[in-house]
Amino acid sequence: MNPSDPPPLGDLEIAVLEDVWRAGTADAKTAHSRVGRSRAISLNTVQSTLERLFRKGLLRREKISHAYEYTAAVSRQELVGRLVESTVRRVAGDRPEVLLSAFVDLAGRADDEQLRQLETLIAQRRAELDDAEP
Amino acid sequence: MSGIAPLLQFALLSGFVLALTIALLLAAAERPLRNLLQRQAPQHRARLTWWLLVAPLATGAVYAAITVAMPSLFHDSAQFAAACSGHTGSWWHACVWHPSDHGQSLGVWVAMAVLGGLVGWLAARALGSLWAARRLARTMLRLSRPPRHPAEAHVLESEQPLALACGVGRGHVVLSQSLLDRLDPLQLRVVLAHEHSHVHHRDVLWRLLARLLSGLHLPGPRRRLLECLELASEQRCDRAAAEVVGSRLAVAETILAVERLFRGATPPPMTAAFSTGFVRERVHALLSAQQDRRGWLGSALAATLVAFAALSAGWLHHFTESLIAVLAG
Repeated sequence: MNPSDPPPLGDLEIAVLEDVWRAGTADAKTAHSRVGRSRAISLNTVQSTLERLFRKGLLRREKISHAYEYTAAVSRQELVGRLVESTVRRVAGDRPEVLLSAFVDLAGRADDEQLRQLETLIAQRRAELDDAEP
Repeated sequence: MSGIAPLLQFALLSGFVLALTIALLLAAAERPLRNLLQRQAPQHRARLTWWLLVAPLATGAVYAAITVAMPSLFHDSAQFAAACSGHTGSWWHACVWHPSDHGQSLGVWVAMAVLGGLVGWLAARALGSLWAARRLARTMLRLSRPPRHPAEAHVLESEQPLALACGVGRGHVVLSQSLLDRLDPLQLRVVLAHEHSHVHHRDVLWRLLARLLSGLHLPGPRRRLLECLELASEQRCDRAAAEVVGSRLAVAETILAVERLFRGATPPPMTAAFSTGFVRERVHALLSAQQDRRGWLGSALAATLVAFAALSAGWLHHFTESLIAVLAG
């Protein structure tokens, strides 16, 4: 994996991350009450999820009394941006990613002159069609 | 094991030699083949190119399987009997149909194990990369808004314009909010129809299989055939989109509009290494009035391949025995 690739995230990790983004801060107990109970998962599971997100560099933490308090190390927009960037890099790389199929070929870009020629061609065809219509 | 081992060794080696021969023949005939492919409708071209990509491995595997499963098919063949009579007593004799007790070589098994290990290592590396890409795609889907009318696609809150189909099993279409904001309704319908066509045809899966199973081709022809497959599937989806919106011109305009958006947003280093792509080919194909030809090429190629594999049994037999002899020292 490229070092700048965002880490892969599971369903629970995203739910916990979304919770931290919404609330601003969270410790294991509050995250469990907001995310864990509705999913019928234990406090330990939520705790280890927070730990994993911290290790992946997506959360910061500070020890307050006996418990860690977590805050987001990256914003949602930043994470999605990294994800899209990584996706584009994979689709556009010299070995294009086969699991993704982009609408336009990100690897082989037409140059400006080519684009202008194609636009002229389309405009001509459009004009011919318009002229042909009664 | 000792009973089946000589047969297995011969079958694997014969299959490998046949696969390599077909890869070399396809490489030699690449240019005329690609000219013929160009005249096919995109859906036929995609299917044919896929089969050409997997042909060496598939033919070799089928040949080896038939040799193991049905050795009696060629039993009592006068041709082979005559060919074998000259060396039936020699220790490296490896004939499937007239096996001897010494019909296998430890050296060949070692060579095969090394080759198998190399293939396994390459496959593991490819699978590792695929697994990482799959996890990335899943994370992207989890962070996106689920599909709902009218977009019928996962939507990512991103400034980067993005439209893609992903997923090997149940496919998904992902659009970025930025693209949704910048396209007009007709262009959005084109993009969605195009990407849903990829999902409908399971293009991601077929492309993945083509990449994995085309490893016996020479690198150059393999890369060009994979590009041909890519272009054919893009053009097939362009046509599907044109049918949905009722205008080829609208699809061509959308391709250019999205290309312009990408050019404005993609960082220069990402585009610097490449000068041209499929945009020109796709737009020209949409604007051309070329009629689709009847798809006879597939049947002709399949018949040629089967005939070649069947007729090659004789020389393959001799060549493989000679190869074993050389490898066995």
